[in-house]
Amino acid sequence: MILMIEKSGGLLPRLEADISRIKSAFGNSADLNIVRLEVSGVRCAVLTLEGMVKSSSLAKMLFEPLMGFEKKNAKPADVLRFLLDESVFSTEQTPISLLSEAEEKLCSGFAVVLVHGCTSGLAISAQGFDKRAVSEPDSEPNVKGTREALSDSLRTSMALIRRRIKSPRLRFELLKAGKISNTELCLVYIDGKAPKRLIARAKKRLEKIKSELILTSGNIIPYLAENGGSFFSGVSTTERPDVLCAKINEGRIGVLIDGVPFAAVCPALFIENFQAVDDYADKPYYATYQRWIRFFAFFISSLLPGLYVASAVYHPEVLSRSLLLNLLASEERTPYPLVAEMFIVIVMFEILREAGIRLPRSIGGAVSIVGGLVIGDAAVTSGLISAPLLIIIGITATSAFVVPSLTPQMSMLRIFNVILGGLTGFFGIALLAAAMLVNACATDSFAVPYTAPLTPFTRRAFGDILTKFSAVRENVGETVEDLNGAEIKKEAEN
Amino acid sequence: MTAEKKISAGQLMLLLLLARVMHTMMFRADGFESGLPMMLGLLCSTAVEAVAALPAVIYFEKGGADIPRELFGKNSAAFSLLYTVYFTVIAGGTVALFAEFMQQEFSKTVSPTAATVLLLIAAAYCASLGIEGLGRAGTAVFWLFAIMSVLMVTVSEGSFDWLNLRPLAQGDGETFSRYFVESLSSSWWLPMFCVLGANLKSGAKKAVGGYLVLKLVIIETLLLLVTLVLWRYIDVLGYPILALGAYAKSDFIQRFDAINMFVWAINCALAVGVYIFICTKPFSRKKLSCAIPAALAGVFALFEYKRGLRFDEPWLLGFKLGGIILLGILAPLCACIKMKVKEYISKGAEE
Amino acid sequence: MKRLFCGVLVFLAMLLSGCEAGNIQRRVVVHALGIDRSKKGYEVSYQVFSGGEESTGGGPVDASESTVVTLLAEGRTLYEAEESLRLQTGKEIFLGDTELVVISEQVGEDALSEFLEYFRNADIYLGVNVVYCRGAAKDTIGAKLNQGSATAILLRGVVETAIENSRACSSRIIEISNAVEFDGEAAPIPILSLEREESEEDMSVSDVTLGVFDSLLVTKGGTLGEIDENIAIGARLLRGDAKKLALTVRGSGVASLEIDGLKIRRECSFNGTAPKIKVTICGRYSVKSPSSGEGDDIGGLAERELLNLCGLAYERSYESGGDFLRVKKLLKKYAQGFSMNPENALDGVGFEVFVSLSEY
Repeated sequence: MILMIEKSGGLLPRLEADISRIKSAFGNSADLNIVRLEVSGVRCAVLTLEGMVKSSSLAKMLFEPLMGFEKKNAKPADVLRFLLDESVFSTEQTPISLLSEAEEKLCSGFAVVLVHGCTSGLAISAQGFDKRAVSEPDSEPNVKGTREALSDSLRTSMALIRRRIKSPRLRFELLKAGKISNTELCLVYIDGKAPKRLIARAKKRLEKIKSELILTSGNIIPYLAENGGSFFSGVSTTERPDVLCAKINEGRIGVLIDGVPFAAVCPALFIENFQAVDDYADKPYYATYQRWIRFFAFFISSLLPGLYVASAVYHPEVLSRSLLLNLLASEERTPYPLVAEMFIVIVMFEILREAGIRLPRSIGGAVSIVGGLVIGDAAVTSGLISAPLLIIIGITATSAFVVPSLTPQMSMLRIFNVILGGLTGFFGIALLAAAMLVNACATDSFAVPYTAPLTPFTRRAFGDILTKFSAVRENVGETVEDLNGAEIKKEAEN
Repeated sequence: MTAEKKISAGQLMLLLLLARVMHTMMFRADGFESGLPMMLGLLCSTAVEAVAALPAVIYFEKGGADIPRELFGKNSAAFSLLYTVYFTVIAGGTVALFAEFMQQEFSKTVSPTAATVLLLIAAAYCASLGIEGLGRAGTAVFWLFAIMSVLMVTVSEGSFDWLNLRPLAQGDGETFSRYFVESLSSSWWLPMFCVLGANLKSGAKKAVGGYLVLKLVIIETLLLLVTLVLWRYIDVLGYPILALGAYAKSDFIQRFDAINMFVWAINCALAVGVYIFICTKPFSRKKLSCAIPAALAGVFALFEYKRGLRFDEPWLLGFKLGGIILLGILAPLCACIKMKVKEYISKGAEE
Repeated sequence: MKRLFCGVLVFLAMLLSGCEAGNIQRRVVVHALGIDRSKKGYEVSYQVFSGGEESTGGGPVDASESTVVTLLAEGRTLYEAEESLRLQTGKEIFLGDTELVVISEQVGEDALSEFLEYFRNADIYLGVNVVYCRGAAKDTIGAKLNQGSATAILLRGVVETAIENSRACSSRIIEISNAVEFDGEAAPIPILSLEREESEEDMSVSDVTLGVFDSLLVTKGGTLGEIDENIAIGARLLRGDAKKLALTVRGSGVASLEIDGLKIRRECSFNGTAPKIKVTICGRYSVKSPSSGEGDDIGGLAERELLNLCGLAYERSYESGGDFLRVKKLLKKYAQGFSMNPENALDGVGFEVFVSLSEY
């Protein structure tokens, strides 16, 4: 009988045997704490993982009532009944009967109570691990929006969203992913807004995740996006709870990941990269102006160095006279061809940018000083780089910071445009532009065209795309499935 | 052929339009005498095209899905191959024209061979992404053209000389008939529509009507502008592409020739991409089937370019016209008749 | 991924091995072209930019006295001269920034069509003005004037101002090409004069001045002599493309006035069998220097002066047989039944001019 239970993975009536099985499952891990105690003469054990539970809470909510239990000639079944049926230790307490359940609960910060002579135990929620306080959204700063960012803790993030949408239609669905990490994922959406087909499809895709660990949103995005050949991503990320709320209100779904302060949002549109929270706080004319600046910055950042090189090398007639002459005068003194020069400066810029990101903030400023000194002054003075080229890179680099969500795409486009512009002039850049345009247009995210509502064009959505004319426009209740070209509804009907 | 209904009538209309305007702007016409006979030639050819498009429009409006399959059932692959061959030649011809343009006007930028190869690689890649991407990109490119044209007109230093618009004279008959035939032989949008109609969500009538009206307005406007501003100088410029920006100059952008080339290169990649996509329709393995027509089109383009063949050679004109009649008019006409007969028989059987 | 990596490697290899057709440093930017006749054929003077070495001090660089030089090259054709300059400098010649083309009067009457053919195939902007000059073109291109060197911008400014003030006709490459395509048509091309014979009374004016005072009538086959600025003004009025002009009228005194906002309408009608061209000129004038005489009707004097100028232009056109009033085109459009005299487009054509000026 015992052999059968052991084989099926159930808990054994022998306490020490269960403890040794759990120990061996954790490989005698140093953070596994086992407290052995006797309750009315019955041997029990409380298992926890170091740092995952709050000791003081555990002492108060579990040990005090447990030690207070007294019954003459108590049997293991009496203790277990007391644990399961007669006491309330926590808001979340679950009976367990399998070893795997015990292991899983331990990993989630539960305390597991085992009773000698019983084939079931109890898992009590007593999570008390250290977590970061709700901080400011560093990667998406703003002026007039919230100062709260999503948290590493899934529950905190869920609370942040719930605080903003106080409606029973807001849904959180928990899933697990990661073969080893067993990370909790949470699907967030508003019932009635997000198409059912979209939710089902997202769940299906998340279930297909084969990664062993889920440590960043990047681990789940490739499974969610399912667009292997696409240059742009059909899934976006945000660390702002207000942005996430706005997106799910448009019929999208968000995926929160335990341990990651970013939520993945799908489907994502190209145009969303140019929208900011402050647009909705500013005057419409100013918001429209700002939005156009962002569009302009994207094209400058991707195209300007390539166009500059192509113009100077192959099509100088395009440049105005004074610009051409300045260019000529400054390029006379530089040792490298213009294309190589541009290439070198772009690589240097990328190195400095990377250094700025990776270094601690306190010395990040030093990188800027060194970069400014080395590139800005010494390189020009020594004649290594021409001054107009440096201005071009300066404008390009600054523009790149305006649309941070498209940084990878802009960086790659920039370098390819320089190479193609240097080799084949405007012709090569045009072909790359054609390929990228068709690529973006062919990208669908959950049956919603990535380039919507620009193409396919949806006039209704235009008020909040290239312009931001009306402050009340966003309240019309339209969702992504209302965009022209979106096939979600049709698929659902089918 | 698969019957995936993916693009809207507007997108199809713009794809047909971009391909047609591409050809007009690339074609190096000799002997520009007067704009009016040419404009009249275009008007008449458009009227003929409208009538010729009726069978295809009726077929798709009546719910027809696929012309080759309608005609030959399961054995339609052989007939579909005719479309593949036809559009491989058209793609090759378009690329050869563009390569020649690059050689004439931008010889220092890229060699004709490199231009041909790069263009076909880009086009094949675009084709491999599917008609949806091409259709949506077509809308974006159309707007790019519109913006460019407005920009160039705004900064143009030229002025209209209405005296250039000479009324029709007796000797204009030849110009009229030449342009009429050339315009008709450039109407491979008919077979294009017959193939792409299978990918249309709905609105065949709207797509064709919109295309004909827009084509007429755009090309007639271009002809009028060129006549009023440049007149016979268009012969000197050679390419209508350059005519648009010949007089445009601003302090910021001095000359627009290279900018024009930039925009038309994008359109060329897109238009050839659509041709290659049509070529791939009989095949199931999309990636491989994009590469093969692209390679064949490349061989044909280089052959045409190296041998100095003109796209208006009599045999090529005959080939183009023959293809239009067979694949763009007769095939849908037969499909229509067959569909009607089937309907009639099934009605008879029910009764 | 491997393919992408290989592709990037190939691109980089090509890039770093210097696989680029042109380098900006290896270009000679030409600002102005001067064409003279020489023993070999043509001597072409190129005003080029040479600011690379001198602008080490930083700051913006533009074509100025210190940054332009004039280089000379000879050849039997303009192509050969360009090739010769290429060999001299070891650099590519970039004509896309050319502001003006100056042709010496001595070059010959038949060379214009050859030049036009060259310009059509070169990178030159087709909206560039072509002008003739008195004396050698190289002297005009490299002249030192009171106001500084004759840079291309300065020369262009002089020509454009003359055209703007209706003292000369626009002579863009495109316009000349269209105008001299057929027999009987003529195009007045401005003549840049470096020196002007000064009247003996007025010796205070420098002898080295620059201006457009006359134009040369060019046809398909040659030239038809010069026209002065008064005829040029009349021609602009009769052609219908004058916008503004400065005028000095003489009554009992002398008054200078500026006429602008000119609106000119040309209409063609048949008077029996012969066509009649009716030109209506409307405009507004402002007196810049009032008449010293009393009781002068300045407006009336100005109208009469304009009529007089139109008459001069008509007479010159009729005499020369060169249709620089663009009558032929007008008749082709409106009077198709009329059989034009191929020798003289004005033959049998009546002109009726109405001038109406109002004061601001």
